[in-house]
Amino acid sequence: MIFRLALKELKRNHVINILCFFQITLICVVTSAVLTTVLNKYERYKPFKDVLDKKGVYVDVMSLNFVENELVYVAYDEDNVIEKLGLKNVDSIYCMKNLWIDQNANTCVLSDEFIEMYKPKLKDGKWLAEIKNLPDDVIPVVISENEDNINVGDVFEITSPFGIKAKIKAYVTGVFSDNTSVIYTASESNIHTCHEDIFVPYNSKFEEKPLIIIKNSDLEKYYFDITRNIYGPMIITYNESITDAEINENYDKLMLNGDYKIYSTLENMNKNSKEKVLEDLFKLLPMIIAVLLLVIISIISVSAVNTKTRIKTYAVYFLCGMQWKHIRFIEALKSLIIVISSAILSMLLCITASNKSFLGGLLIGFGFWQTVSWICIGVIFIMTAMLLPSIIIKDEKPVSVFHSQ
Amino acid sequence: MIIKFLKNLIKNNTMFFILLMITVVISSLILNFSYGLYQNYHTLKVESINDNYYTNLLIRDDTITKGELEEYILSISEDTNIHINLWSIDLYENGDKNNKYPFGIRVKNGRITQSEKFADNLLVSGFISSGSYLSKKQEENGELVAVINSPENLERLVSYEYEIKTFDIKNNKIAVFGQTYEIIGTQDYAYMPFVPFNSVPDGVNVSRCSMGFDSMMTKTQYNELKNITNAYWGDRVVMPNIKIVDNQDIYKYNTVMLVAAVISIISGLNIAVLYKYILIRRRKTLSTFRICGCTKFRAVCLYVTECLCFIIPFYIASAFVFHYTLLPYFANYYKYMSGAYSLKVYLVIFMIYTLLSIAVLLFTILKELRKSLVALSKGEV
Repeated sequence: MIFRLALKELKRNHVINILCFFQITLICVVTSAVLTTVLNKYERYKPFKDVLDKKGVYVDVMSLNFVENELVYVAYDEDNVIEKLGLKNVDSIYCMKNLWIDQNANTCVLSDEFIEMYKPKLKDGKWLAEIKNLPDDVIPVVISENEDNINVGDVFEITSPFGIKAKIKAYVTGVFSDNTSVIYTASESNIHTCHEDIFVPYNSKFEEKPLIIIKNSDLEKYYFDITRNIYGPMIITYNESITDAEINENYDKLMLNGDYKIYSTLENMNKNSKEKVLEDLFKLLPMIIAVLLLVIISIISVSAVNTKTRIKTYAVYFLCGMQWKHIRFIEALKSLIIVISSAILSMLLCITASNKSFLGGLLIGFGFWQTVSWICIGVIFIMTAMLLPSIIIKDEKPVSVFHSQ
Repeated sequence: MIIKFLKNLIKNNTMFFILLMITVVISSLILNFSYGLYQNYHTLKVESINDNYYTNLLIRDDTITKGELEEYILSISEDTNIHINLWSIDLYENGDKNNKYPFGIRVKNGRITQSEKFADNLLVSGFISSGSYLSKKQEENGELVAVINSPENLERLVSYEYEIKTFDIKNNKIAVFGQTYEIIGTQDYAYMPFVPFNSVPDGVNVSRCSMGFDSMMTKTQYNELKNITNAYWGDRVVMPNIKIVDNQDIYKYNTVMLVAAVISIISGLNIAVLYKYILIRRRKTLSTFRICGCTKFRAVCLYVTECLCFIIPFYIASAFVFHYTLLPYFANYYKYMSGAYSLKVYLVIFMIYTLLSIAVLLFTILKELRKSLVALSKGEV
């Protein structure tokens, strides 16, 4: 009975209800867009949060060498760095290695931890951390958009100008678009000494060659002898027991044996990262306030208009024997139907908008926090719709409400 | 009558009046804010995309001359120079930096010639108001010909406080850089005349130099330009670092622009919902007026004027509040926001808002007026 009355109310007042429906839909889409934009900033910091909380250093290596019998060798491996440079109390090293192979591509080999830590947005295919069950003679790689049109599922050979024993047979598991951020050496123009220096946008047209990303363990499984050197981002974490003297000693050894674009303690890096995330969020704050204001005003005005226009009908219901709580329930049900229909349309809009090519690419997603925000909007809307009749009518008797209308 | 209507609204529907007032104020603030927000992120987006196509040399020495710059430009390899389709240069004479002569050139076959991109832009955009622009031959041979700003335009510009150099025109000729140039056309692009770059004496000073590429600059080109700039100029001129824009940043700019547009629409919908209520409240009055002989046109005028009388003062007051109190604060967050506003912009936003309000009002009023007088007098929905 009440449900039927709610539907009847929706039909009777259809112009305002349609306006209300579109308003709530747009509010949900805007809230989703703002939330995704805000969360995006944090989500880029989140993968590095744990490692940046530890004791250690972050360096962006340009060259890292050590001297042995008066000959200079490049550092090519994590163990090699610890052993040959004599670093003390090191817990772990995550780094990027440059392969001295194919001249037609930039090749970077990332530590497994880096691969697990950060997943770039792929245009197509799967990230290296998600790959299982590949034939034994190939290694999985992710490649940037390229002129040779190499796509997911393609197998190609990476040749060596330095004569390695075997050619690398690479199986493409994923492709990323130009200007996608990947773990790579920092761009000199844009160093903030924060987490954003670890991943940089790669453009194959600017670099004039594509980038091939390989997981370290995959490469070492089959091609252990390959020539490589440590280059680009490297995180060295220390054991908790490390002393200040050891930290200083490690610092001196690293500085003496290498050239770096960035050298920072993880503590400093973490501090800067948090500041950067907050700074970016503050930039969005006026927009967030504007959207919140609009949400509140919209909900109140829509509910007020709805109540005001239907108050006479409700007085009639009351005179026919219905109680105010039932009337509030009709309002709540009506609002619930509007909210649910708006949420369905908003969801469809968000899914369409999250398509990368839509309007040149948007940051609109539909996830946990977006759902929570929509539920909040819905609850506020329904509560306002339920409370407003009581506020507007106050202590008036239904007969006087009827006459005043 | 309208004042009576408004008084009635305030007296009998105080809560509604306050709500309407708040909605108009918030809508005005949000409309003005979202325009600035949109412009700010649009500029950021264009700037970040352009970063890979254009670069401005950072000139840190006032004594750099045209002769030196020419030598520098010609020292760049043909392979790179062929992709630079525009060298945009400003020159000034006698230390007068307020009056800069603009040039748009490129290098082909080891010679400085006209930038087709620059010339085409001037022609396509209609900046050449009479006569013709410099020809390729005139540019290459450094002929003494000039395209001056149209006298009407100059008169208007001179009326501003900005110090603008004027030229004495004698026998269709002007004196520039100590030489006499024949006028071959007029333009509305720059207040200083266009003359062939090759005709300018080598000692004239350079104030700005930027280069535009026909496609995205490559690392090889960038490295060559950086090395040549360092070697040729030392600290006097610096090649800025190139920044590759992140897709996520572009998506963010697109999203904020979309949000700015959508919150404007929501503001408009708020007002529409409230107008609808006012009209519902006025149904009985409307029917009485109509029975007493009020025409549909008069009824429309009555309600539109009532609503506008309400909106306009609150809208304007809010726009003032926005400009004088909120905008300076927002400028700290959005660097291109304050530059996006002018009196004209405020008026345009106001006009759009008013016209849209009138359109919504007309739609709802005409819909109401289509109902029978009996239905209206009963106040039926």
